[in-house]
Amino acid sequence: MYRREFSQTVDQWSEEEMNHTLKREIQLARNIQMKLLNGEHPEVENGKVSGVSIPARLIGGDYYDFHILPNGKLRIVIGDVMGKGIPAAMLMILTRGAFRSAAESTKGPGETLAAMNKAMYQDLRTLGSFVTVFCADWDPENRQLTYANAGHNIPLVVRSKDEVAEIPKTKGVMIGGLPDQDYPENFIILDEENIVLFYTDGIVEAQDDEREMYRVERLHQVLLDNHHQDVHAIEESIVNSIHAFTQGVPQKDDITMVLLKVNQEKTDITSYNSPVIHP
Amino acid sequence: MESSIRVVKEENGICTFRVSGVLDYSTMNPFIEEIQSIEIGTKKVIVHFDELEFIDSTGIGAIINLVHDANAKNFKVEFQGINEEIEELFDTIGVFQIMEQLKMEEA
Repeated sequence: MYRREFSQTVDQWSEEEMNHTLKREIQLARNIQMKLLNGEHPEVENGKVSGVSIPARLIGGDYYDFHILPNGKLRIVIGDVMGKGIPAAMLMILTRGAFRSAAESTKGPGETLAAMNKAMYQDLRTLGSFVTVFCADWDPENRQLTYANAGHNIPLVVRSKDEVAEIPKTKGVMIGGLPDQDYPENFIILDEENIVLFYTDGIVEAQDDEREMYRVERLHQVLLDNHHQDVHAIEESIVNSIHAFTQGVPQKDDITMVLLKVNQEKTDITSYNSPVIHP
Repeated sequence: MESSIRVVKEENGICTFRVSGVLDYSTMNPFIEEIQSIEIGTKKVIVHFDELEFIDSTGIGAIINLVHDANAKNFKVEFQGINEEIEELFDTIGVFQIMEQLKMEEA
């Protein structure tokens, strides 16, 4: 009865009332997403992590997060929900909840992805959707990055001013693709001043007014040109490079990245601050 | 860039899709409608990607839903004409692993 009365009320709204309400609710949804994305993330002693997410529309479906483990490691996650706008944003929130729950109770990134898939599979299949997620554990003691992949693009590692490459691949099906999946882990050892960039495909698929894509080669060059900078300056350089390339052309996909840079000394996790979320 | 879907349904139960241009969030609906209209009794769906220039996550989602539909409705799916870039994308995301685990044909 309540539902029927509510539906009739909405149907009776004028177009102006509907537009006004929708604008207000989308703005509120954007605020919720920005605040949730803008949660705590660790500041790393003798090293830095940063994260930024720029939705193509008012709200988006990209996601990144950090979680400090009891053993002192840092768990990093980045994800990209299928689709755009409000539907993707709703599933991004679902992904965030699944990661935060899984990160508390799993030993490594592979187990985290398996737990997320277990939690989300049925809902995503019902909705005909999926999420690509890359998850990594950073151990500042031995500078080891252990990672697992659920269908996401492979991060880049910058070893020197002349060397940037994908980290060694590890494959796994996207979250929501198949039930009961295992996600094999791989690892790399990072040297001092190495940089790892986790990113979503909205960066390399950003388009200019002639539909030319930004592509990974441009991203490589920005990373090499700015390898000596700190993570926030590198992040800004990448965003500026994309803006310079797209020349204000509205983008179809969200742009999200997480940067990890090892400095010259041993890395310890010491405190928290907030990530920068550009509107 | 526009997208077009050409569908040929043969009497032997084989249904052929030819997708061209861009298969993304803004061009997906005709493709989804064609997938939803696959008739009972279809034995195999062949999707030709020769003229496909770009596919985004929404397009890949539709392909994955086609694969799951095929598993549920007991018909085969075959991909043809996939270029290297799209093959790498499908491989990374896990499309081929889904097909393999559901015991289906692939390109």
